[in-house]
Amino acid sequence: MIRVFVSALVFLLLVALEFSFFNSLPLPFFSVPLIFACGLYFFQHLGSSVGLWWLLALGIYLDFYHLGLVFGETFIYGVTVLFVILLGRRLFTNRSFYGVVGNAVLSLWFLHLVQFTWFFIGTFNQDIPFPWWSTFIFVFWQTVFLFLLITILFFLARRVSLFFHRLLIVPNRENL
Amino acid sequence: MWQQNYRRFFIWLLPPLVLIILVLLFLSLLPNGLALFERPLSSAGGWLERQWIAIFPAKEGKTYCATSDSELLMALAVDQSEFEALKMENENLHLQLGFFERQSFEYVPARIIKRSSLPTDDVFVIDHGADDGIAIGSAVIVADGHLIGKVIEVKGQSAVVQSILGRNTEVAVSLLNSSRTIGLSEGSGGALLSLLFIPQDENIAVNDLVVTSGLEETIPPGLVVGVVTGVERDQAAPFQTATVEPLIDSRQFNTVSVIILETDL
Repeated sequence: MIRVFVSALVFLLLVALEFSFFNSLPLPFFSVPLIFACGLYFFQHLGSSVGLWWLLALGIYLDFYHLGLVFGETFIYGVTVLFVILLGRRLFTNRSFYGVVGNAVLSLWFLHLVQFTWFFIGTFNQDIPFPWWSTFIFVFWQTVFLFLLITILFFLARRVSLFFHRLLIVPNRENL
Repeated sequence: MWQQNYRRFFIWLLPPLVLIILVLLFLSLLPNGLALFERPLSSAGGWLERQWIAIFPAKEGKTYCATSDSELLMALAVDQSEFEALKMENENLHLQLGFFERQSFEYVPARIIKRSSLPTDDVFVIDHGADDGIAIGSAVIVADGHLIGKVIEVKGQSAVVQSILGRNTEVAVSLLNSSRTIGLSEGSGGALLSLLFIPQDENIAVNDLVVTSGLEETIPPGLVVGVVTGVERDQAAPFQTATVEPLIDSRQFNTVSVIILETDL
């Protein structure tokens, strides 16, 4: 029960940091995918399913506050979680830095692919101009910051793992 | 053995519990508690953005505001829109022989507590909602009457606002030219607005001020929207279109005001 509360609390803390602080910063800094990076890192490197639930909760949060590109972010993040699990189980190892980065970057691009597909299906009959260039720049910076965040988390792995093991979010440290 | 089962039981129970708790948290009073942390975080982010802009000013766009007299021009723009609104109101008062009551509205000052990170839509959440009288479609302004967005969803103590620059955000506007051209401004997700449905015989020019027309029930007339920066005329088309540049960058503000119109007057 404590683990549940701590997980929810950490998620809310990450949400406050990302949506209130980072998103108030100018480009490129408002593209920092903090929750996505933490979720991916927790799943892929620390082997904690809490990371996946954070991703799904992020989808719910975006839908709740209409902060996403389209309505239905819960579904989009749900599909992305399945993609993350697939990559984590079949393609990338959890011990390698490149494995964690590879899963994170591919999953981020997959998320955007599903988002834009969903968006264009929803606006198929409408003549809505889409700012391709700013979107491209945004995704580029998001990828850069994702890489940086994963790098920082990976090289602080032992401390991160110990800290969250104490908070009961990470069940064991055998994977490290 | 018992401990293993106990642990497994909680591991399986965790996900639905987290979801239930999150839903309960969103629907309960916790968002207000979270707002206590979100306000300073948002303010800190906004302050850092202003410092960033001061150090690295934008080199493209914002042609109207980038001149050396930008502050004076903006002040004049506000004065002119206020003057025109007062003039029109005065004319109406004379025409309707005092039957017209000056439409009064009240403000709800609010703080931005969350922002989206989308490049296509500037959506933000403010810390006041339906409990304070905010309704869907309410105008959100900054400082001295610049319209920056419209409320698209309200909750008890928070409201979601979409910038006028956001995709599909439409605002009924009029130009402060000789014929008081009425049109519809539409955001496209970029830095500029499109002014649509202007008949070909209307004479619009660059630097014409664009203000709200008051044709929307929830938005009063005379709020500054922007200035015309380009006009496209295609003789074959029934309407001409114009490009409008907002005079204010909404991302630089952390405090806004929501206009509550007393529609029952």
